[in-house]
This record gives sequence, structure tokens and C-alpha cells, in this order.
Amino acid sequence: MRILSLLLLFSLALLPAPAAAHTGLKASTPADGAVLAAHPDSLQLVFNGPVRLLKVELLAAASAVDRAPRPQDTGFKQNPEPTAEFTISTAIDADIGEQPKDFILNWAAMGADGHIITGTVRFSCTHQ
Amino acid sequence: MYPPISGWELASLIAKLLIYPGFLFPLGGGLCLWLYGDGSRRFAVPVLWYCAIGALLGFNGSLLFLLLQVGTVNDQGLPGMLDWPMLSLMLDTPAGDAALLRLSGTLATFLIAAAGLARINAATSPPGGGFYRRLFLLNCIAALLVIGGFRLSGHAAPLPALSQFAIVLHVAAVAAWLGCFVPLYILCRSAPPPLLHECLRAFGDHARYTLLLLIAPGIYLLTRLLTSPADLLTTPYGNTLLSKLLLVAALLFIAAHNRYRLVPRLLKSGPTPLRRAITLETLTALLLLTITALLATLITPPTATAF
Repeated sequence: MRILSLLLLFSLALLPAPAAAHTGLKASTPADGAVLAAHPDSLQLVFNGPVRLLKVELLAAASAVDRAPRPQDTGFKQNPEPTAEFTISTAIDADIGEQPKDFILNWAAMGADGHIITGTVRFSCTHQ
Repeated sequence: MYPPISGWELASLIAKLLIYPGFLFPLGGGLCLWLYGDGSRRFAVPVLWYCAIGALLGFNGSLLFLLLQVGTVNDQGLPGMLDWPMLSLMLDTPAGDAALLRLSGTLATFLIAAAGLARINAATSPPGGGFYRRLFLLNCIAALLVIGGFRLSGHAAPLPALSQFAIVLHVAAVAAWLGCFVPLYILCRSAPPPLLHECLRAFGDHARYTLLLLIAPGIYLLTRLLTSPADLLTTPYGNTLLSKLLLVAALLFIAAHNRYRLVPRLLKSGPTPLRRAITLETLTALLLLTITALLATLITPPTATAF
């Protein structure tokens, strides 16, 4: 029983405290934190393996502290077969009273093993 | 440094853990009713309730896991879990297929257990061995539906067909072993020592083959999910897996102690030491399943490219 107790304690000691997250986005265009001269016409997400993209949400804010960012149309449709690269067209609304400067791209995808991965890409534009 | 676990991930871990009784209880319970039980109502009724409770837990765990996946994608709090357009999108994926298999399997298990209970309660004499054999076969079919979900969604899903077959075999063998602990505990309370001795001897003898079916596919899967044995010490997945292997070793140690020390002394010392050992086995199994859920839900194998 002493051996068993030691074995149990040792097995628990080996556990990593928090879990390691599943891998996800390898690169994006624009990159996270990028500062652009003008609105991008399209966005690109590159994953390090095939995924099903489930959600793409592009929000535009007049400033980084804007509490009500406006959703922008992306025309996103779910891919029937998993792939690693996605290009999403954007139609940023130019008529909104104040030109948006900061963008938040929220995405969610399902990996080949059914796990859900989520992430956010933030970028901004310097135009006035 | 590891990223912290989010609320969604923690809830998914609990939901995954709830899925496990959905196949462990009916497979283990059905096997014990057929091979190790005394056929008495005193044993059969609690074991059928055990199967029914497993089915209910598995059904709710499967449903919760699916809704949590929807909630994770929407990230809009609890109402986001009930977003029908996203739910229907999710049902079109292999994860949705896995959820439907698990839901149908656990529902079938519940109905089988309910029918079994009704039959036993209505009968004037205990049903024969043929009844329990049919019950086990039906439970096997239902449990295989639930287990089939692991082939469609989980770390083995992107691997070749042989690995998917290995995961099904491994999980079924786990169920046929761990799922028997609670029914055997019930048997310790209900059966007279001579019958208990005979049943536990038979369980110990059969367990050798069950363990072979558990360990051989398990080792094969290890070779598919790890890049080298060093991963066991150098990666979070390997560390967690190593803790799982040590718990399996602990369970094997208790099982051997039961089979070769406690069972032969059963007629002299009574069932109390065995009941205590089975309780310890059950608690160790619970810990093992928690670590398995952690591995299956939150930690990436080293060979994975995009999980």
C-alpha cells in the first residue's frame, strides 16, 4: 500500500498545472498589432493544419477605447472541407460618421480532431 | 509557460468527464450481470440502475459538451450556447456527428436499462442467463455508438483507420474493466462468500484478456501520438500521459493484489477487505478518467499539427 500511495502521489506531481492550449493560428494578414495606411480589402488567416472556420467577426472602432465597435460585413461562409488558409473579403462601411481606425477580428475554428480554437487579431489604420 | 484554462475549457472538461459513464457503466454493468452476477434481483436491480444512471450522465454530458462547443465559438455567455444557427452549423461537422452518436447511444442504453428493470420487477422468478446475455449484447451495441464518437472527434480522429480502430478497442476494453468495479462492489454486498469467490476468480481470469485488449492498442496509440519516448518527460501532453500510465500501474497493482491475495482469502476473512480494495480501485479509476478527460479535451499531442 505504501508503494501504491507513492505511485499515486508521483503520478499527480507529474501533472502540468494548467493545460497547454491547442495550436491554432500560424499567421494572419494583417498581422496582429499591424498599423496600415488604408483599410484592407481582404483578410487572410493561415492555420498550422486544416481547420473548419466557424466564425469570422470583424468589428470597427473609432478608437481603441470605443466601447461600441461596429460589425463589418465580411461575406464569410463556412468551408465544407477543412483547409489551412482562408481569405476573407471585407466591405468596410465608409459611411459611418467617424472613420474607423481600430479593427478587431474575432475568429473561431474547429481543428481536425473536433477541438474548438478561438482567437482575435487587432490592427489599425492611420488614415484620417 | 502554459496559458490558463478558460471557463469554457473547464466546463468542457467536466462535460467530457460526464460522457464517460455513458459507456463505462452499461458495458461494465452488462458484463457483470451476464458473467459475474448471481442473477438475483438484489444484484440485478442496483446494477441496472447503475447502467441507467450512466446513460443519463452520458446523455447530459454529450449534450452539454456540444452546447459548450457552440458557446465557445459564440463567446457570448450562456445564451450563446443556445444559438440555433451555430448549433446547426456544428451538427454538420464530425464533432456534431460524434455528439449525435453519443446521444443516441446513451438514450438507447437508458431504454435498455429501463426495459430490463421493468422485466425483472414484473417477473415472479429471476430471469435466466439468456436474458442477461441479450441485455449485455444490446448494451454493447449502445455503448459502441457512444465509443464510436471518439473515432470521429478526438486526438485519434485525424489519424489513419488503424489508429481509429485502436482507440475503439482501447476504450471498449477500458469500459469492460473499469465499468465492472461498482457492480463487483455491489456483488460483495449481495452475494454469499462462496459465490463471490467464484465470480471474482472468473473476473480476475477474464481481466487478463481485457487488459491485453486495453494495453496493446494503448501502446500503439502512444507511438502514433508521441514523436519519441522523450516526449513523456519534455512535453505537457507527455507529462500528463505519464501520470495516466502511473495510475494505470497503480490500478494493475491493486487488481493483482485482489486477485492473488484477497480473493483466495475471501472465504476465511470475508468480503470487507475486498470491498475496501474495490473502493480504492474505483477512486483511482475516477482520477484516471479525470486525467484522460484532461488529455482528450485540453492538451495537444506532440504529433498534432492543428488540434
